[in-house]
This record gives sequence, C-alpha cells and structure tokens, in this order.
Amino acid sequence: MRLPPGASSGDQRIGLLRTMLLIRSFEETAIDLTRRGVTPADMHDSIGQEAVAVGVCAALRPGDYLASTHRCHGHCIARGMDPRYMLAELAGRQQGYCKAKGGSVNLADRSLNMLGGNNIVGASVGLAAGAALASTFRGGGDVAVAMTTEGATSTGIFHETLNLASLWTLPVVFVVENNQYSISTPIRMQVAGGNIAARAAGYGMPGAAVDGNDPEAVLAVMETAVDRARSGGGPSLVEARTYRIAPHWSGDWGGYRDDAEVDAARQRDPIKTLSERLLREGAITREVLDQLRNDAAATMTKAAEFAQGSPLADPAEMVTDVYGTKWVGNAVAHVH
Amino acid sequence: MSTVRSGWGMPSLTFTEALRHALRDEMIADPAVVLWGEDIGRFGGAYGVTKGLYAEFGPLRVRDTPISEAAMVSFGVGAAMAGLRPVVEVMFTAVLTLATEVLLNQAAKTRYRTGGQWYAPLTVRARCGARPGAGPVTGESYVNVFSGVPGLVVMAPGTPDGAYRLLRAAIRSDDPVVFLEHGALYNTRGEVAAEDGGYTGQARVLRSGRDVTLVALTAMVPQALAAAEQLVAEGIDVEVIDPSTIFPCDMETISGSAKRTGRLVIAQDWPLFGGIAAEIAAQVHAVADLRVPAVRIGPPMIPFPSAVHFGRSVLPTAGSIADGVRSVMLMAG
Repeated sequence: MRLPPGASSGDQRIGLLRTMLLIRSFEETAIDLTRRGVTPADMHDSIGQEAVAVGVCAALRPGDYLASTHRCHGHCIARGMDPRYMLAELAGRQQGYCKAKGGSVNLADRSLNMLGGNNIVGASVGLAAGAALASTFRGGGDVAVAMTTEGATSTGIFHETLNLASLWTLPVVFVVENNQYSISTPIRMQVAGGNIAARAAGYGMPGAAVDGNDPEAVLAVMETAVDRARSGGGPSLVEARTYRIAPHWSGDWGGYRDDAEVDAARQRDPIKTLSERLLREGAITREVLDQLRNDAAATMTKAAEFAQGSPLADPAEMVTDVYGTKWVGNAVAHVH
Repeated sequence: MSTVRSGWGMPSLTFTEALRHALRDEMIADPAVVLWGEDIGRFGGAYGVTKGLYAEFGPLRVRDTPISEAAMVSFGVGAAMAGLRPVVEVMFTAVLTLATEVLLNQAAKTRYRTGGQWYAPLTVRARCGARPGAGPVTGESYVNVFSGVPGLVVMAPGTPDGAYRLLRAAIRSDDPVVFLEHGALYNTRGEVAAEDGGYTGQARVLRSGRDVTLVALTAMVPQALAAAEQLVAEGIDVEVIDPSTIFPCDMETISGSAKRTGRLVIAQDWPLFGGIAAEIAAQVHAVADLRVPAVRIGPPMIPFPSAVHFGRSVLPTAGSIADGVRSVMLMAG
C-alpha cells in the first residue's frame, strides 16, 4: 500500500481503520453464516462499536489482560485473535478457540492474555480486577482491562468490584462501552443521574467520558488510564459513549426505538467518520481505502471457507476440560 | 508437591488447628497462595481459623475485605486464572449464596468454556451447618446449591485429618473448590497424619464393618462413629464412611461397601430433598442388590428453627442414627 503525500508512514489512524474494517467484515460474515444456518442463531454483533475495541486494544501491550462481554467479537479481533478460529468456534469446529465448547460469547485466547467473553453482564469486571491483583504479585507492570457495558453499571458486582479495586489500588481499567441500550431498555431507564463517568468519583478513582466513535480519542484516554495503572496509580473508569447500531442479538424483534434514531447513528458510524476525515485531510486515497476494504473482505472470505471446511468437533471432545484433577468420583456419562 | 511441614509429628489437633496448619503449610510451600476474606487478618477470622497467619505472612498475602462476597470470589477466579492460588474465606454458606453466580457460571466453567485454555485454581472456604440456636439463615448449609455443578468441586471433610489433607489438596488442585467446614466440627479433635499428596476425592472408610454401610456427611461423622460404638453391644457391626468430597463423590467406594453389607444408611444434617444422600441412594441402588431399601436420615423439610429446643429436636444424633441402623437391620431381607 503506497501512502499519499501528507500522511506519515506511521499514521496510526490507518492502522486503527484497518482493524475497524476487519471487525466490520467479521461481523457481516458472521451474520451471514447465522442466516445460512452454519452457526447458531444467537449472536451479538458489534457493528457501529468498532472504534471502542480498536482504541482500547491499541493501548495495550502483550502481557496485559483483557476481559470482555457477550458482545466480544470486536474486542477479540482488536486484540489480535484469528478470525478463522473465531468462526470455527462459532461453527462448532474442532479448531475453534474453545474447542466448540464455549461458542460466540466465550471466545478466549490465552496466548494473547484474552480472558474471554462472558455471558453474564458485569462478570468481566471482577475477573479483570482479579487478574490485575495477580499482576501486582508478579511485578512487571501488566495491567488488566475490563470491557463492560452501561447495563453492567447497575449490577451489584460492578459496585463491589470498583470499590474493592480502588481500595486495593489495583492496576485495572474499567471500560464501560455505553451503547445506549440494554436489549430494549434505553440508558435513561438504567443509569440514575445519567452520567456513568461521574460515578468514578464515588469509588475514589478517576473517571473520563469519551466519544466512543472516535478511535483516536478512545486511545488517548486509554493511554492515560493504562499508564496510571501501570505506574501504581490504581484503577480508572472510562465511559466510551457509542451507539448500538446492531440489534441486541440476532433474534431481536425490535420495536423499541425509532428508525430515525438508528439512521442518525449510522451517520456517526466510526468507520464512515474516520474514512471521510482521512480522505479530507489527504492522509488516504480512495484507492487505498478500497484496498483496505478488500483486504478485510478477503481475510474474512478465507476465514469463512476455513471454518466451513474444517471438521466438526468430535463428541469425545465434549467430555474433556471439565476438571483438571482426575477426581475419582467424576465418571462422566457419555451421550448416545 | 510440597513436603514442607510445620515441624510437628502426628499430634492431636482440632479441626480448626488442622485447617490453620494446612493453610500455613501451603503458604510456606507456594508463594502463589494468598488469602482474603472478612476479618481474617489481625482478627484471625470469624471462627479463628486464620489466627497467626497475618502476623507471619503480612498484609499482602492475608487481606481483609469489605462485605463483598461476589467480588471476593470473582477476584479469586480472575486472580487464579492469572497465576495465583487464592483461598477466599466466606463467613458462612448463607452468604456464600451472594457469590453463587460467580461460583456456578464463572469458577465452574472457566476451563470448559475456554476449551481448556484458562482454568481457576481457587479455593473458597465457608462454614456450613446447623447448630441449635442458629436459625433459618445461619443454620442452613445450602450444600445442594453448590453441589452437582460440573466443573466445581465441593469438599466437606468430617475429621481433623480430613480437614488438613483435603484443604491442602483443594489448594493444590487446579480446579475450583468450595470447601465446607461444618461449625460443629471446629472443636473436634483427632490425629492428623502426614499429607501424602495422593488425595483425588477418595471417600474415607473410618470404621470397617460387616453388617451395614453407614455414610455420614460432615458433622454426622462423630455422631455416626458414636452410633457404631453403641451398636457393638447389640452385635451390629457398622462400616462408617466419610465421603469427604461431596461432589464429585466417590461412589465406587460407597457402592463397594454396600454390595458387601447389603444395607445402606446415609445421615446428613440438612433437609433431605435432593442432594448428596439422595444421589448416593440412587446410585448405589442402580449397581447393588441391597437386602432392604436405603434409608436416609436427616432433618424435615423446614427452615432451621432458631429455638434451641427446636434445633435439638430436628438434628440427627448418635441415638437417632443408631435407631436408623437398627431399623434396616430389622427389615425383612
């Protein structure tokens, strides 16, 4: 790819855009696979929220931990997970990341210190804080990041975790991906006081709200929070404000928000916004932009082919990884 | 496997002392073993189990927490995934329920749902068990709530020796363990043998016998042993088994015994519906031709009543267990 004049060779924005495009293509591919029955119907896509994932992950180094939510695909891609093995997991293949035992919401990759997505809203915050605690014993400054949701800020575990993480000065960053809706419930019915970032002060930690559709802005806020954690300054709360253009999940029958509201959000689509800015500033050409899009599509075509062409996980796999110890009482019954 | 010992031989220890030795020996052997819980630091824990550990190991490895059971256990899962071996003390099982989501969905499933990439070597200790005067919340054990969840281990030793060996095994295991310490056992005393590292859930035959297999859960162990002694005079020879690990339960040892004796009695001190006693009865009946149907002894299906005389009347005793054994001996067959 030849960069046009006016763009620095290290223009991080192109890297951020490239990853956002891959996430978008992944989600579109995954949606297509669910429609064709290759993968199960239950899937939570993150179309429209790509900037949060890429901005957060661009601030991390390899040893840092990441815990994610049920809407984890974008976080996985941004962290560097392989779309082939992600789709293979969704499609119940042996080569899926979780050996066909976790599915879409549990995608994890230990080699990237990616603790996994999670079915339970709010669960990620405690797990990330625990990983941060372990890091303090090791030394070395690794931090943990919890991706969570505005819905999670109403849970008990969110409250307990932020309080205790602050008391123990843990190197953890809590990223609330505020996409404005928990299924059909808008944020004004979820968050008393309407300001999630402001809650940080109540936990004795810094809080910041950021435009979650601007990956550079997210990255800048994250760098501050991660540096703080890494240098022993304790936890932070980052509220990344975005919008859930996607339905809650593939079975969502809608009816709870205006089309006009969703259309307005599409105008603020992070990929659209960044692409137009880069074109305007001469940092990228249309050819290069098209090439980036084609690259993402090609990666996903190959990933879908891989997933569909690889073997289904063997039933013998189903009864493994329940325990590590061979407990004498654990006779796992076989399913016929 | 650690061979570090506290410098004692085969003394007689209380259940509490055995637990404390187990924690200490594991903390000496492995710097990854870290404790947290409410009041476990300078105070030494609500039941005194961790006395002295704060002074010896300091505030980073022995931490007091606020009242946050869900976070306490969740931090435990995350820290365990990231390389520590946390031992979290939750004051009693009625408040362990505040961490039920974390135990059942997070701790139990970490290994399976990540295809074996991550796992959670976490131990969560909690007092369980009724005692007269306890009442409908603190007197509950809720063993059923935590048992039978694939991926989660539930241990409930009945002797000081079991307490020492099982707690060390729980900490060393790479699986998440709910470790139940019945309050009525804390002051019981017994010989504690060297820990040999071979414990993988075996039930313990505490007394060999010919006529009837008597399975006793946690605090029923001393009662069952006393009942067995009472019955010697009547020519009834009772085999007493302490499963020690409730889930996964060593059914092979229990079934093997029941096949030989032909009679099975199970005693627990929490209400009988579902749960380990029912499971043992069902599984043994499936593989063994018993002379008579298995008998389960336990409190009625009521919340535990607070009045002391109520509590005494519903809890099994050595006497009521002996009556249960006599009844199966008398049944035709």
